[in-house]
Amino acid sequence: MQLTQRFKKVNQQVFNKENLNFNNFSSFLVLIFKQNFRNIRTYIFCLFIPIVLFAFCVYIWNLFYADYYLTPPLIIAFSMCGYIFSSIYISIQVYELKIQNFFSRIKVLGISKITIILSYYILSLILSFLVFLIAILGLFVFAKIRNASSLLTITNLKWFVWIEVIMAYGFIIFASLLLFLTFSMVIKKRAYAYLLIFTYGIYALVFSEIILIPEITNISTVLVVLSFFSFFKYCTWVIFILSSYMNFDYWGFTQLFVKNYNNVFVSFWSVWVPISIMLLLSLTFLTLLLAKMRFSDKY
Amino acid sequence: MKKIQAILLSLASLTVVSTLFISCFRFKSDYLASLPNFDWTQLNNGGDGTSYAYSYDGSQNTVGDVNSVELNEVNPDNISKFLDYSKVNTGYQYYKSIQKQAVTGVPLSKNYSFNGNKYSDYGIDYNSRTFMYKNSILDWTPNDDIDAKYLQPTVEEISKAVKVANYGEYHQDKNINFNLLSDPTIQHRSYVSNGVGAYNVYEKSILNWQSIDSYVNWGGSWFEGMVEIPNVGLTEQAHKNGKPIYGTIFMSGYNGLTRDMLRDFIKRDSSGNYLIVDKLIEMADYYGFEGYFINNESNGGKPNGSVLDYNVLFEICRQFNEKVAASKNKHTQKLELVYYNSYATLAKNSTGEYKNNETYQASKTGAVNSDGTRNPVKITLDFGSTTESNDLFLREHANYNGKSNYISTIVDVDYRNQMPGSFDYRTLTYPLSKDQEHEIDETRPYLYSSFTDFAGGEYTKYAQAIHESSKELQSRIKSSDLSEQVKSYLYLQQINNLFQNIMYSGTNGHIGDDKGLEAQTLYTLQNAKYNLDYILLDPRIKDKYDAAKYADKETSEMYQKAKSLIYEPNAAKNGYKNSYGISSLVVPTTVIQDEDGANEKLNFSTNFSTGNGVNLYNVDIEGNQHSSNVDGNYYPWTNTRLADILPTYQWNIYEGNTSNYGTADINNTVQQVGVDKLSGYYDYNNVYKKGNSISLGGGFDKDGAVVNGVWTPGKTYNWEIMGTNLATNNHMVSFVYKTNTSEENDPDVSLIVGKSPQGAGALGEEKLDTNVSEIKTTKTVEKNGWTRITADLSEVSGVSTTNRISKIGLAIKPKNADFKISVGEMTVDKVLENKSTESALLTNAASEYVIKRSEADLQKYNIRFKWDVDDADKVKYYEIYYYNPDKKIWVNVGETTNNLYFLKELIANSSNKLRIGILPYNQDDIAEKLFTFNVNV
Repeated sequence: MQLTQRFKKVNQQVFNKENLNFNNFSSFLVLIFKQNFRNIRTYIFCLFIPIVLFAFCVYIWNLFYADYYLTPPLIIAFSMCGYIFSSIYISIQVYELKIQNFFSRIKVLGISKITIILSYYILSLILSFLVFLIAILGLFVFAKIRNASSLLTITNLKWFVWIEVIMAYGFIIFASLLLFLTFSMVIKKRAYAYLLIFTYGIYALVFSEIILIPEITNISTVLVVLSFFSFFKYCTWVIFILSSYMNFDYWGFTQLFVKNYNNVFVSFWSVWVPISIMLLLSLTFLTLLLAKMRFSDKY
Repeated sequence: MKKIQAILLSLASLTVVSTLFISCFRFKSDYLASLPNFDWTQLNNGGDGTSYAYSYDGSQNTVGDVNSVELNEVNPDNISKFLDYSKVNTGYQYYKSIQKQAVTGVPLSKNYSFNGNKYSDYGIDYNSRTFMYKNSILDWTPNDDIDAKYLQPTVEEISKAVKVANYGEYHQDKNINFNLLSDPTIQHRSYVSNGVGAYNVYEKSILNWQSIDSYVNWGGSWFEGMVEIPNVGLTEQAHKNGKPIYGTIFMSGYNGLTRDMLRDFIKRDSSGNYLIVDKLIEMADYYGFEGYFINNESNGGKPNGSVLDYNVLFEICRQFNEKVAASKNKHTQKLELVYYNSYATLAKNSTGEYKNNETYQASKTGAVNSDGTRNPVKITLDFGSTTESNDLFLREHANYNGKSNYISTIVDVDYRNQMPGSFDYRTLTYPLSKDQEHEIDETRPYLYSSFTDFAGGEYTKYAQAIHESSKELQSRIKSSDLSEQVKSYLYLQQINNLFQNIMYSGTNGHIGDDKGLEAQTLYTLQNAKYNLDYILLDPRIKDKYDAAKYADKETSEMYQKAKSLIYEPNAAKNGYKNSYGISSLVVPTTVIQDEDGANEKLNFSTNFSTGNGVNLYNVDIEGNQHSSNVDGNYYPWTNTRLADILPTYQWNIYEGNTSNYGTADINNTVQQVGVDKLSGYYDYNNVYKKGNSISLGGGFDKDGAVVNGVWTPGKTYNWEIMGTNLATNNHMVSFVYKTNTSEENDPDVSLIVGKSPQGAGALGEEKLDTNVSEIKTTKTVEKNGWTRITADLSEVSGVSTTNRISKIGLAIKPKNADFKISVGEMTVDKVLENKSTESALLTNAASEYVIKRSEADLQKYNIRFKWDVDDADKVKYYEIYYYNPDKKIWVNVGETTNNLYFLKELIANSSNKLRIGILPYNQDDIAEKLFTFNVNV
């Protein structure tokens, strides 16, 4: 694949420099940064597409459905779509490197599993937060210029909520990466690995209430049930609860059901339930990943 | 590496711990508890404007000498420092209403916002509820709203009103209708008014119901609430006068309406039914009004759908009209919508298409009948629409034929100075003839148009002008002396009354062969700040405040212009040229009619109450008068629930030679009396019952008191008071009057009756009346000094269904030149000799809420309370009394027609009890028992 070839090329450039110490976290980080940020696909898949998706969500829900306000939790959720894209992108990349024995080679140089996971986490963190920042700031500027009060609701978030949201998002990105890296490491065959990664990625996008707002999910019990099978739903609800102030006042849930909040199904009333589930699953993924992480495709 | 791991783990731990810590907090608001006491003495913040509350200075009971009956002791359901909205609901409230109501508990007039309140309106500014609403209009039910019952009218049925028998008075045209569209209060906000009245005489009383075909209670806004419920007092007044009253649905994108504010307006159920429709019907039925005026300026000049797609609105209208048509409920069946949109016209363009499709589509929202025809829809066109513009529409829509009140044009009398009394309304109602005159076109009778008067601030602006500008007046109002306050406000009230009457009668005070001015001419009288010019110019206002200061104005260009255009005398009629009033064009209606049966006894009585006063009076059947005016103290009040039927021909006064009186010649030799000498006034200082009488006098002074008129001894003055439509003569009529002359100079007063063929008089024909004659009367001087003059109409011969009694009034023959005459009551068929009705029995006093406030080391209590009555029909009205614990006397503190009330700023006795008394008057005006009770606070 072209991606793999390009990766190889970068590797060669790096490896040929004798003075580099590969038993070094920052060096590995530089390696994958160069590998990704010199690649146009990274920008297309991890930045451009999520930002377009964000803009589409804002447009659709503001214009055709909500009619009224796009509340902060919904806007934050839309702007979070980037982490799924970057997780998918990195997991595919890791799978390709795995089958090329790339990790076996660097193991010789003393690069640990943790170093690899953390390095990719930082990459994902940067890509996801870039989407997040561009989306939020872009929307804010657009709303200010157009004097669109229905889009300026983001100002409802106090500074400490921003800190909470950013920190939670940082963890969500980590958890997401763990899940998709697990897929990469566990699945042997490329077709199956790709199928699982993309299928679950799309499933996660659709059923985690990131781009489909809770009012839509609430239309059908089937949709509600399906959403619980998405790991990312728990992540989304952590953000929902924090950014809607539900953890202070349960009536904050009305920010998730703008049109009608009577007789709706609220997935979680307390932030600790989705956080606990998220932590538990993340730990499981981490354990599984560390256990199954091989530096080659020869098991 | 380890460092990075440690940092990341620390961050994660910190996140969890800090989130846990922050989540332990809960939002809390003490906004309602922190609100300051409400200052009732300030008029401009929604207060009464006087210091009456608990400032009674007298030393005697105002209740009079009546027996008392002790009711049960009352333990209020709630006592707190503020109205706890988490326990009780008062429906949607404007944030200023909340600031007033939370600390007083007063039940306020109603506006409803479609989505309801933001929580921040109640001071709950939690970020969690920033986008959350409570009190959506769709959630409203009267049972959950503790204010609603205070705003229900006790006069639910609309009385039958018909055109007076003689409707050929000059240019009066039976095909012309007038709809008044007006703010109900001086200050234009719902938080100002309530269901229990105010301690001030100064308010916007509606005085000319005889010329109003319907009343639109104008108001509402995106912030105050888009749906305005009519003021309950006006609803009662309208119904007594036989007129429908409409609320307003005010949607204006020009004034801040946005799409999100319409969320609950356009909400539908799964069948496509708009939920708002049922709610609007429910509200109209509960509050007893007759429908809504829809002000559709939703898109504010932007393309359709920017805020509201008019097709959605029309579907709502159509569903409303169809539900009304299909309803079995009698009140619901009467409900109507009146539609208006900006630039509304039914004119066509050169290609044959309607210029404003929106208006045209609105005309098709009526219910479809079983025969396939569609009911017409009432539409108000834009300002300046001419009758010609509707021509093609009316020709093409047969369902509008004969419905002269369905297409209205509109005029803003507030727009230019003196439009009220000089604008020629014919320019709106008749097409232009070949001679460029607005005349009747007999070939196109359906072109006659009704008109709506957008009288938002209209006549009240004159009083407002002097109120705002006169330091002398302001210092009197700010005085701690209640009598100074009352007199100052009474002066303003008299100015309000005067300019309101001018709007109907023209500046010359008469309806007759007047010719007003076209709008273009009036536009030259440009600016509202010249309202003071008219106060200076009008001879009925005898004393001018800050006269020296305003003397300079007399040299101003605008003053001279106003004088020459409006107030230059017209020698022929002793009036003013260019005078024109609405009543010159509209045939008045009357409730004194016997169309339902020849032998019907009308049991009609009026004290001409405008629903306010500076004291409250009553006279029992034995002639004993009692009033709140003990020790010369004032009790300033406004409560339009107590308003009466007012004079039809308010101030039509003619003078003639005594020798001709009683002969046919009277009509040829009499002439109108100049208003500088003699005119009619509501007299609040010379009262028989309730708060005012009507007086013939020469004007009013700085205290609002009516001064003596200038009479010519030897002449006879015909004062045509009440228009009637009586096809039979088996009726007894009486008036109660009083003069301020010495006994030897007391004028001869007799009763006159006008008789005319039904619908007499052709349009444009100049004549006064047909066959006005004096009839035999008997007089009785009552204990209270007033004289009752009674006549049997059977004295009038030749009365039939084709030749009817059209007017009843008084003829006055003065013996001196300087006096005034007041009329305090008129009755038709009222049994006056014997006590004929029972008194009501009250039981079960109760209180749902007491608000306790501290003010200057005093605990003051505001209380909502109610009582049961064995038969509400036995009660004419109630007076409410409070036992002043300091002076140990009963003081008059309220009046109502309803069996519940609210009192403010009361002080408890040493046992922490409030002592309250309720005095019900029966239909004979007898108050037999004061029902008293203690409230434990």
